[in-house]
Amino acid sequence: MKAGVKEKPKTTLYKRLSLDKYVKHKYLTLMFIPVIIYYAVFAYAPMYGIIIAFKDYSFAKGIWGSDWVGMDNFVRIFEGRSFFQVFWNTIIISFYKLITGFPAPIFFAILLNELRCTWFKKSVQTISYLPYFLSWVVLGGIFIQILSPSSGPISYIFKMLGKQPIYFLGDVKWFRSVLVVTSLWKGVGWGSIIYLAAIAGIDTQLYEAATMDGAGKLKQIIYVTLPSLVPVITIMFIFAMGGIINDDFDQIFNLYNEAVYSVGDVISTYNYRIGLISNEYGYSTAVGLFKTVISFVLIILTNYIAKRYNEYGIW
Amino acid sequence: MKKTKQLIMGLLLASIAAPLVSGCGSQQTQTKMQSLDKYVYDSSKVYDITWTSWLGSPVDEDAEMIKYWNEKLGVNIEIWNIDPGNYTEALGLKIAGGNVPDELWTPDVTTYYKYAKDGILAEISEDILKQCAPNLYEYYMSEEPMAFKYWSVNGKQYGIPAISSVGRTPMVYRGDWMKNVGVDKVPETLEEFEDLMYKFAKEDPDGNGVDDTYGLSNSGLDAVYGAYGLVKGYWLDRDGTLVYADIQPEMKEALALLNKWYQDGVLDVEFVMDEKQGSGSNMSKPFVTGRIGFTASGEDWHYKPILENSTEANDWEGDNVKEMRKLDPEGADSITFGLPVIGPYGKRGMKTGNKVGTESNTVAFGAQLNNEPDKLAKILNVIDTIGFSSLENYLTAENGIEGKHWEFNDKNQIVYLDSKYEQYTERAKIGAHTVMTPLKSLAWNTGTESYDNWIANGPRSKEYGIANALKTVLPSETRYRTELDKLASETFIAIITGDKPIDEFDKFVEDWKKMGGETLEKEANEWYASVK
Amino acid sequence: MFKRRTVGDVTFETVSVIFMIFFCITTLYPFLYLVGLSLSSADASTIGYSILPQGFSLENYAKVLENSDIGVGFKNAIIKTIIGSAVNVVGAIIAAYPLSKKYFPHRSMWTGLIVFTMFFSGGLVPSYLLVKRLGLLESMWALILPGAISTYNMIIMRNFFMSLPESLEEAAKIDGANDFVVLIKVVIPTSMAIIATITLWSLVGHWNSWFDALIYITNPDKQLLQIVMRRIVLEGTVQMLNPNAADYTSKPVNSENIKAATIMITTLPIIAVYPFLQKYFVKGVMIGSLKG
Repeated sequence: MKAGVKEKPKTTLYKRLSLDKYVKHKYLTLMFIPVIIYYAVFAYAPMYGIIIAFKDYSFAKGIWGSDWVGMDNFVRIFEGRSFFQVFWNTIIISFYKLITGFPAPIFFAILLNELRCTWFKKSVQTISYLPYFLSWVVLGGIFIQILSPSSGPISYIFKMLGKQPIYFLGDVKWFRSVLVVTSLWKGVGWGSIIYLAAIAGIDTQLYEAATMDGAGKLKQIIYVTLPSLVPVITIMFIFAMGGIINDDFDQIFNLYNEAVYSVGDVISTYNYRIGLISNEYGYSTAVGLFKTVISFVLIILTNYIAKRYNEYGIW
Repeated sequence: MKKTKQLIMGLLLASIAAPLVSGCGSQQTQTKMQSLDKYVYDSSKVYDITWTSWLGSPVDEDAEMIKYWNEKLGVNIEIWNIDPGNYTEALGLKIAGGNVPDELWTPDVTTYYKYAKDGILAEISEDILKQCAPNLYEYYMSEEPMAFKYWSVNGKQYGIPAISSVGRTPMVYRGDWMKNVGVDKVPETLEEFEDLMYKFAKEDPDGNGVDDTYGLSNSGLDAVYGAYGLVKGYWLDRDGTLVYADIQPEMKEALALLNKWYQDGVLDVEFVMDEKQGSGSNMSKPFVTGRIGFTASGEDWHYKPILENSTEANDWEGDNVKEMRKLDPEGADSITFGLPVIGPYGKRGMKTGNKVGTESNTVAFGAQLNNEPDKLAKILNVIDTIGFSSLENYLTAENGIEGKHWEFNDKNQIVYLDSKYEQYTERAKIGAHTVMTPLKSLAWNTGTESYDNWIANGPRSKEYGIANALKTVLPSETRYRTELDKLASETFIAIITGDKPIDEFDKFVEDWKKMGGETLEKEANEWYASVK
Repeated sequence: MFKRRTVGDVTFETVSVIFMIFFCITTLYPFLYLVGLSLSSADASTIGYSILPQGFSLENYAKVLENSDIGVGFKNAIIKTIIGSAVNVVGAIIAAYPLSKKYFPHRSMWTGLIVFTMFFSGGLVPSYLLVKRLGLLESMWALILPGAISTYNMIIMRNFFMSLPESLEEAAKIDGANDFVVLIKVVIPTSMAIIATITLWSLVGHWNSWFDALIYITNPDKQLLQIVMRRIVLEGTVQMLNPNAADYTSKPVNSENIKAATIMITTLPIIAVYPFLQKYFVKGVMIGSLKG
């Protein structure tokens, strides 16, 4: 800073842009130039496409030439009788998924980490992430069979216990739970990988010290492992909050039916059905933009809150 | 040869005569004449044509059959390999990128309308078709003379709808169950049908001593609606006016009946889900596994046995029969077909498709051809020659070259010389199957007497079909349809399962009208008047 | 070294082992179901949820592998996955490292600009036009470059770098190493756990992606395995829009068993990657290298 003051008259702009710092850290700068180019070309250059949301897109006229329609596309989103319902379903299902599906991989990773038998640990890791690789088309078919009240194994257990089997997929009281549980089950193993990586980074000396102090497994987890994971948990949580407006189309589409529309119809499935009748680029871009704005606001808020309570954030 | 000469002469004459004729005759006929004269191709020229179609598999670079047609027809066809999954999106992007194929296949009407309205399609007319694709034109006139009119956008013609073969949804019963409950006659009336369904549900038709059967499931709803002359989601002509089936008072009665069946355990408790699962093969799982005794899922040929004397040497069994045979061969052999049952008002019917309707595929042409009428003429000629002019061309287009890829056996059946060509995906790779026949005459396809015989004596699925009387997408449909469909589905299920009282139906009708239904009714009838 | 385990520890461990075993049974089940289906002979019923194959035959696998598209797709998918993942990992590192340095000028601005792109994007049409203008259509690079840097991965990587003790680098810098050398010699070796994670994410992401290939690649010689698989598995469903589906002369090619075999063939290779990366998730790797 002091050096800057001395040379003030000649190099104001140079200084103001901190170009001297870019020169000083020339290796970092060199490294970063391709990154800037990448984002300029592949992220910012195509961004003008957002204006499609305010246009009636015409193939012949192109993005720039298409007619402006103002907020018409957005009005269409909000005027639908189901808008509030599908919006609420999306948020509430995502929220349930977040409060269960977010902590679960953390605990799973910690549990895994505590296993002492290496081959068992490795096998569990690999087996637990298998469902992540199967598409909902396949899993949907399997769940429909398993959850069938007349022929599924779960109904069999119910009958053995002398209870009336439940039609999980056709009952508005149960449908969301099915979504939450199956999504949790599918994602927990895969989701734990990042936490396993973070746990691998924890200084073993901390554990040794804790053991010296007579801390048992549970105490070690509470006082060593969890605090060390705070940075990565924070980041993952901020991202997860941003994702609350996104729903899992493949999952819901393969499991839902007309009987559970009232609790299971979400933004993506609803728009899919709209898309069957019309394919309007303007409308679908508007839906995307609407969701983006919500995501963005949520992320900024969460990031802000996170930064107030600990120093970690995504920027 | 002779024809081509004529055309060239026509072209020459036209170019000389055009300035001369002006002034005589009515203005209209004259421009019409003049514009038609442009649509003649130059037989000495090799036209480069870009082409899209539904592809079972991407077509190889130097596909044999493409070469064959190129040489035979004097063209140079370039196939665009657009994957059939997400086809519309992928094609849309190519078009957004500024390339419109010369020949363009599109699977849904709304996409066709969008393209037409955006001005990326070349204008055609019935007269042009009559001139450039006479066989096609003749075929359409005999099958569905209104086809072109249904496909007009703002009074102009931009595409040709593909004509589909239509069959009514089958009424399928388990014959062995019928025997077990002592019914030997396939139900003719709704009352008989109800009686049989109750017996299927209550009298242990599978004889296992456990109460684990139902009469019918989701597809069975259609059979009941049909007995009232209704098909859910269809528009029907009532005394010259289009009305929407879902809001008819008879629908209320049908729902009340279904509600009773549901309460009585005749309608499968899992009906909302269980006939829809699977990979879309139209297999009715509850029927195949013996939980229900009646189904109307899929098409007649999903229940088809192996037929002797079919077109191909290796005939195959329909999905439902095939799967059922694995579990219960006797049940599979006992499959019995019925006709739509007669309801209290003497009506009977089941859903059937339209030869040309909102589900039809379309073939259209890139707008660049507006400036190259001769090329458009050539493309129409290609379509006409391959799909409509002769059985020989059709068989070559679909199966490959006779003697090289396939031959007839002594029963006049097609036998593929390399068994891999039995798979349509392998045929697509060499440019056969549907690659060159996005439009084709179904007359060639039904050279399958045994199949027709089976239809006529078994499912009889050409009889008592109820088709959608609306054959276009209404202007406001994109705005209201999704909400209205959702409202109807939710209400119907709630009434059937008893979540809501039957009188909820009256409120539904009111809501339906308020939520845009009235607009649709108005538009539907305006359209109907315009095509009469 | 360690104290004797307490009763609490033993209970804790037993409970977690039992839970893990139960959980693994449920996650293994759908997989075994598909394996069973893929090994069943063609005349066995495809309905039910038994994991035992009915009859045993490899004929389904033989049939799938007979399809020449599978081989082509495999080759292309492997090449694309390896190159693409390498690009992703390098991209994440070169973006994350400068941004992890407090002294890097305009750090928050750059981060903000980059994070912004995670949410706001121009959509499909301009992206397609861009790829087309860059002349990348029909090229493997169309599947790699547009997603070369994943912002999500980059942020996670950056935070990991930020959590490294500064003393590490300072020591190296005193020895005269520049930022680049520090990155290669010190930072990367200590960050193998996170690099392994991001490598795994990239490999899986590239292996499973299909939509970009569907719109950018039409040459059958360049098609990817996922596209071939989709064609087989989705045959007969509404997604494939087959106009001939309403036509009994179009005999379906793929039975449920063949579909299951196809899913197995396309999924197993990528699942097999994980055990190789697993060693980087073993506790203490980083500390070991830190000390060394």
